[in-house]
Amino acid sequence: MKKLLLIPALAMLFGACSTATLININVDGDSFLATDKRAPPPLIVLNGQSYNSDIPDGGLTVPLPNLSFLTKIALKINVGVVSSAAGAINGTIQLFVAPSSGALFDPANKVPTGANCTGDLPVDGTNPVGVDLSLSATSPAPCSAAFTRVQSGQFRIGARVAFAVTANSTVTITLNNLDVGVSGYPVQIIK
Amino acid sequence: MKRILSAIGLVVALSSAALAQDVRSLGLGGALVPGAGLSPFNPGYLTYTGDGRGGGLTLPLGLLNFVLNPQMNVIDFLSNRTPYTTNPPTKVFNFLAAFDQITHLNTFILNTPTPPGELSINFSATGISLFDVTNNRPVALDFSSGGGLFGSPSATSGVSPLFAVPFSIGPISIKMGVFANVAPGAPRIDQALVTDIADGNLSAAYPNAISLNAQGAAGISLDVAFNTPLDVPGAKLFLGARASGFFGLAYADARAIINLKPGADPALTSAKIGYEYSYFTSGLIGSGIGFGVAGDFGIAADLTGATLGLPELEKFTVGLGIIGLVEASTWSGTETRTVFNPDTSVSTTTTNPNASRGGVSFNPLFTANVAGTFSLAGGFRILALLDGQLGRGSFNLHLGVEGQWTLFVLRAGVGLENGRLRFGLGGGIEFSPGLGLDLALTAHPTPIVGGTSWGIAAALRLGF
Repeated sequence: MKKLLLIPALAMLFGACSTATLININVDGDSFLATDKRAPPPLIVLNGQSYNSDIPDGGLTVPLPNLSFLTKIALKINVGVVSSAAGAINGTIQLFVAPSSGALFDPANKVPTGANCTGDLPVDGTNPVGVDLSLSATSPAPCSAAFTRVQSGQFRIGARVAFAVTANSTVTITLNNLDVGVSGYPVQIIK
Repeated sequence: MKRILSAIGLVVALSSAALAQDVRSLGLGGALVPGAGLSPFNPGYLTYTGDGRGGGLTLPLGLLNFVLNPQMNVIDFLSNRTPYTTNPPTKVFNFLAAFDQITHLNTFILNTPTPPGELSINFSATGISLFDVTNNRPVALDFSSGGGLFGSPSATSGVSPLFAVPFSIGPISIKMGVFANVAPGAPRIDQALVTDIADGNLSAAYPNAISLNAQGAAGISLDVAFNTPLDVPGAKLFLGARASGFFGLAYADARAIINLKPGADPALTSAKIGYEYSYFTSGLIGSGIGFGVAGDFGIAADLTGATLGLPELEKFTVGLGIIGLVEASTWSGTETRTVFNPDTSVSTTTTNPNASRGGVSFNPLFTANVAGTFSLAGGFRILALLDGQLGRGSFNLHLGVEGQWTLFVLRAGVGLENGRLRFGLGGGIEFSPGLGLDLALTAHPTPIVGGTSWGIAAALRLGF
């Protein structure tokens, strides 16, 4: 049934373009999440302890079909990390892209959030952190592997705030934005 | 592959209806020319001999684009896909242009549309939208491309037969045919309901929340027309009357209604849903019979005595036609109605073997037209046309001019059809009466990207 609907939908879409039209598919990921998944209650954290807080909890399954024609993937995530003792937090934002089964927050699924696919962006306890990644087959190793996982179809995505604190405080973590954009020339399906 | 070909075949079959447009009429902006072609609107013209121009076989010129335009070569695209799929591609297939052309095969599109270079499909929890990145604007997936600037014929009369056999006995002409029409209904949703439930709550009862109507009929049609020329001082009159009758072989209609009302609380999930549906059958598929008649009248006249103060005036023709002056039809049959009451959860079915459909209606369409032929010095001849139509929910005005010099014909026209302006421009070569080629400029709204697609339509007449 789903396939039957897909054929006219694709036909309609093709009718609007040529084989040289670059098609972007943008998924507004955070819109599929309930409020309590995007903005969970604040964490009470203790001096000297380390924490791994996942957002959204359990990750988000992005409902894309097998997209072998993809040439580029854009991941945009914005996470707010606000500490009641801003100077007492030290940590990073980590990103995980996993196939549809298995553990999401596994080291093998980690995608560096820093520039040039190395390192992770720091959190300061005051400002939200925006991750803006562009992945392709020619990206450095951990990023190109994530590209291959997205290309294979249905995948999961999640962010982890890994931090340690030097004062008893509360930390509020919110997912402000999660956008997944993929681009390619669909005509390559019929290669 | 097979599926693609059958889909293309279906589109071609559907669009071939557009080939029926008269290229002469396109060039005249839709202006009506005295002759048998006007008789559906005015039975006075049934035996009127026209000038023999117009009509002919409209050529599917649009097919040429699939050969001449390298971005629309569908055979090459389907048989040799590699150059289209390499990165970067060495060849491009333009789906949008191919769609526009295949749905307008009667015209060779000159400015085939260029699709956006980049298109975004945006998914969110609230819906899907399309955005044309190249031109920075949202895209509406609207593939309806009919009703162009040079639209289709604006009115129909009576029951249109699938095929008809015409013959005549003296002043009486008879046309017998078989008709079948189906009006499948699209579901109608109460818009007030849509607004009401946006917050997830139902605040009022909706007796017609969703309704659906559909009907179909088939039978034998018989047009009997009486037309006789009369010579009176200063004019040659053509009086015509036509009775269009049908004997119905089968008729069916069905309607379904879903009603909604708030339940114990206003939440949509506790709403009470009721429904009713009914269907009516007559003729061979049920019991009973159907028949109907419609009456058309018309007068056309060549005012041989008129000069209008213009010595160049060679011929002056006026006409007035009324179609559907009387319309009556009746179908007797059986109606079955089922009602489900959500309060009692009981559904009841009633059958009425003496139900009927139809009635007498007064829904005429008036057509008035004036045509003047002028002979000018140097062998130039001009045909000037003016017509107006009123009734059946439409108001149309057309003004057209056709100039002839030796073999060559030039046409132009302007029309106002239900508030919509249309223009016509065309030309032709007249080798001998009935043997010629007509060309006309066409225009229609371009699907998806907007704007106007311009084209050339051609008709060949081989009446030698």
